[in-house]
Amino acid sequence: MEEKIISDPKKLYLILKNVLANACDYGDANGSVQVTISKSESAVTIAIKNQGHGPNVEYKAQVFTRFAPGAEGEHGLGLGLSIARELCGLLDGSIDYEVDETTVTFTVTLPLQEAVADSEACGSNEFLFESFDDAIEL
Amino acid sequence: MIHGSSTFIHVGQIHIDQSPGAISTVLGSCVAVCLYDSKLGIGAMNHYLLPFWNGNGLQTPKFGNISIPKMIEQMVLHGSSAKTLEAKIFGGASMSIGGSEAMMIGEKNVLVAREILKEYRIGIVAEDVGGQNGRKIQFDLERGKVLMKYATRCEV
Repeated sequence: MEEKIISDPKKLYLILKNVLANACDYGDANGSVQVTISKSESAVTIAIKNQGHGPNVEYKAQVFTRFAPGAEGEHGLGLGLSIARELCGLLDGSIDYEVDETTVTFTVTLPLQEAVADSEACGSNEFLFESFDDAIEL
Repeated sequence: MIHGSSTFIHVGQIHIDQSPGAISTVLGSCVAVCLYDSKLGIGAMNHYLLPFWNGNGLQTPKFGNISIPKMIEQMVLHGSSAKTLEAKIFGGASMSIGGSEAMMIGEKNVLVAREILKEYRIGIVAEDVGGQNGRKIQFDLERGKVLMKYATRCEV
């Protein structure tokens, strides 16, 4: 995919970090992790596929729920995927996974956004209490 | 020195006030147009995010082509006319994503202000637009002057 997407880089980083870490930690020891990025008209989908068996849970939602039975794993408390899901929600996206006999694929879907101006500066009252000493008068 | 109270406006807002008040905002790639009627001692400031409403969603004043005409209409309702109004434009800094300027939104925000003010035959008497820095402005309605400082910490 050549086009750039507009998103919150910190949240996106944490989502991908957690999902990739999960794939590396719980995939087969000698297996590979395959990342595929595709784009539709309204969304970008990042699929992270590893060889191995699926999470040992009764319901999918448990994998993305903090401290849910079965969500904790050998490599941690099982918080990573719940954090990824929360962050996906904050970006108006979603996260899901599919399991087949030999692989597990986590899919992160994020809506494509129009470029918007830097709203962090626009309207921020961060500078409100700074004085106007030395200001330019126009 | 501002003698009246100062109102801070955010993205998508329009504010009209009278002397001796003041209106202030902080801008990145957004643009604020300040209109002043020295006869009546009233002024208005808007703060918009994007140049054009694209036809989807509400026609809110976060779009320049909605916000500027709306602000002019409100000034006219307060007794101003295009002949007695003068305009100042601020903001429109360029933003960058991954090192390249994205969509040139700041520049387009400035262009839409110039075009619409020209349509309404309102003269632009001062402007400070473009560049890489955010701006903090305070519109003094007693004198019709705008105090401007570049934001010292701004990721635009």
